[in-house]
Amino acid sequence: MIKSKLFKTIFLILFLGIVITSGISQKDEKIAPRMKLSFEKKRQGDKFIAWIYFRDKGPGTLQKMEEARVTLNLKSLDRRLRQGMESLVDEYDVPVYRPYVDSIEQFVRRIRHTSRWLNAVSVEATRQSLEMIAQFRFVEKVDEVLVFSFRDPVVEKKPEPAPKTSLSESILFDYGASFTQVAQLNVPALHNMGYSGRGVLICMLDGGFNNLEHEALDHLDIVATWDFVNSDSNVFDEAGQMGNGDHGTNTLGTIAGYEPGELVGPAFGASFLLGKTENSEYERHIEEDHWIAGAEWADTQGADIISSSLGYRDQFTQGEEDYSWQDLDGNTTVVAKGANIAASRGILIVNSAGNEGLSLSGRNTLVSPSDSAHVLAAGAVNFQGSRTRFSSVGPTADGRIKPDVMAMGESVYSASPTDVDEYEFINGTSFSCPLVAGAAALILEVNPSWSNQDIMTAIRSTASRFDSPDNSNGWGIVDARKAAFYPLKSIHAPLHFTVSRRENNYGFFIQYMDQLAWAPNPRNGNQVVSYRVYAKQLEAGGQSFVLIGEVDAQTVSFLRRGLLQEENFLYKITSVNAAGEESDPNFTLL
Amino acid sequence: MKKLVILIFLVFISVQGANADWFTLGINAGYRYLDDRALGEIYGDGYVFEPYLRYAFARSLILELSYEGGYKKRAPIGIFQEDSTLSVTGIQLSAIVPLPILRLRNVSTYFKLGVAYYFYKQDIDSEFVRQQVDHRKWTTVIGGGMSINLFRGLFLTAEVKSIPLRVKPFDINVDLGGIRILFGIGYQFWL
Repeated sequence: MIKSKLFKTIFLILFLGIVITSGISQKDEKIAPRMKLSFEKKRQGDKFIAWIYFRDKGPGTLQKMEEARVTLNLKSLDRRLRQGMESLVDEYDVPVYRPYVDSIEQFVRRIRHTSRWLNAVSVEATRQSLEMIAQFRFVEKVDEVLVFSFRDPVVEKKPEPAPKTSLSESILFDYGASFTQVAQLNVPALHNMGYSGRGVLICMLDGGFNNLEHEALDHLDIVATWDFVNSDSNVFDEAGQMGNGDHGTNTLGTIAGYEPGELVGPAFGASFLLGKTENSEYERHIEEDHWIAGAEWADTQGADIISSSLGYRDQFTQGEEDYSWQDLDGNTTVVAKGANIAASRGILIVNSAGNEGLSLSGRNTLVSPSDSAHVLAAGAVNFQGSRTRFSSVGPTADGRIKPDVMAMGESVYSASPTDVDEYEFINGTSFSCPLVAGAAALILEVNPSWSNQDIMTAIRSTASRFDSPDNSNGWGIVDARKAAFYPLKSIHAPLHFTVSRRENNYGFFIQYMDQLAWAPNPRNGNQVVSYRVYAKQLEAGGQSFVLIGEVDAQTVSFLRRGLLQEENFLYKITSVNAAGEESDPNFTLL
Repeated sequence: MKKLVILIFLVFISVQGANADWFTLGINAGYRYLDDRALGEIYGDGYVFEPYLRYAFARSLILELSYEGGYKKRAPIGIFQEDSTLSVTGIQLSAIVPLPILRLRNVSTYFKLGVAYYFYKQDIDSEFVRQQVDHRKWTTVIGGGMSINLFRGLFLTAEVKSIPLRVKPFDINVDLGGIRILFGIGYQFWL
């Protein structure tokens, strides 16, 4: 026992000696200039929050990718397939190599988050420790985790509530004071058809969620919660913990509140993940590593949509190392990089454009990640449809139009974070964001085979300024009904594609039979002449799909026989019309 | 199993010195049971026949070579009740030892121990099944019976034996073994 301990200690000393001596010359190159500046401004022994980026993910990446696939739930896999990720997993899904984390853990005060997407960990450590860590061979870079403030909108006068519109006979729900904010997006038309976001999983990333017992929130299907600031599952305010959950209650109430006569949000039937990623104890004080951790969590949990009423631009702690307007090119900020990776997995990200208003210099006033080309940036309009003074403007640093679309961000009616039967009027692009995200959930419910890019295209192409977008209002106010029925495709995939496995016992051997069933997509009318069913054996790794049959339009189930051992298949199905056109696929996995 | 065959052969070699004075030709027929419950429900028990040749190396030790056939059953199987056939046949090599009990004038009893090589085959008449079973396996034979001498060399037999046959051609364990209850007739030739 003692011998073993001695050997371990000697080995550790030798190991550290080798890596440290070999890495000394590289130490300076690895510490980012921003981090060095912060070092200069603080005293010895002060705490820094830093990203430690690793060079690689250790040996056996291919094997780890296969293992990573098992950790993803079916919803996540389904979303990735809609995105066209036929390989299902890639290197971003491989966890950070544990021995690297173990090696640095002893030098830091705390490991805050581990990011498989960035291949990094965020830590709290002293300058000396970070300089020591920079000498490890496997460390690529040490950079500062930026801490920002998020400005609430500057509203010169007390917001006037939107007028309560009388309900017409064709409206199914009594929206109360929330009518204007949803009617402006043509959401009631989809509600009347029975759509409410059912089956869509939305991840709310916000500053905590108080008062979930509110009468307009107590119906919610909350699948999971996580507090990324305090590392527990409670997303409401707790004594002795950092954070304030009022903002999240407001955004959640806006997207999914349901109390007829008072508040009906666009996606009241959706399921939710609630991620507390903001520490708003003093001001709205936010740290970018929490957002990355929240987005990775959303991916693993299978979220279809992230509604993020947060944004990063002005640094809070130093005031000098802000992201500048030139950094808002969709690829530079850490959160934009994270959002791009999330979008590549098929997640639709809706982010508030920001409450920075116009810039006198004509430069953008966006907050990140709304600058990403793969994020739907929501700006704010008032109840009359005019852009509010505080709503941030584009273009991005690389010249793209932003924001993307607009929704009400002034006098938005939502649930109170304090009383179970109280409501309040609130302002900010923070609330335009959940309105747009809720509309997107309805569009996805109508079109389950659409990718995030399809939804963005449909929303932009049908919004009020679709033919003349600009950097103040983007493509204009969302029209949820038009977007949901936008003829993005000439032919649509079958719906409700499911698989069930049966065992056919022949005495000496069992034949496994997968029974596939689907429903015709009513949007195709009589156009479909056949369905094509493809299969791909998952154990075979990167093997592509093989056509296993084409059946006529009258058949709604298909029995695939002949599996003599238990194998996992991924199936996809497409509709084919008389012109031979094939729809996008719908997927199912056993 | 091969070791058991060699052992039986060595036993016979070792008693070569004793008087070997007759051999027998005969046939048994009867009923066999199928131990496997699932397959039993589909194919059921069945009739078998068993021609044999016995050679006496000594009064107390007889070698028997026999063939078991006749169990070929046809039945619908699986979810779709597809037409299928199961057949089980085997060749047995046994040592027979007369027992010193129930020794009446014309009646003798014996104990039997041996090895067998069994063939089992399942055919499924379906366009969907890709793989059929045509396998073989060594097993053991244990049993006993009685002979009733009629006149000259003619005699009748009644025999019970058990032949276990646990197989696993693919992923399912199946017990094709079972007890046989046989009756037969034979003739003994003196050399």
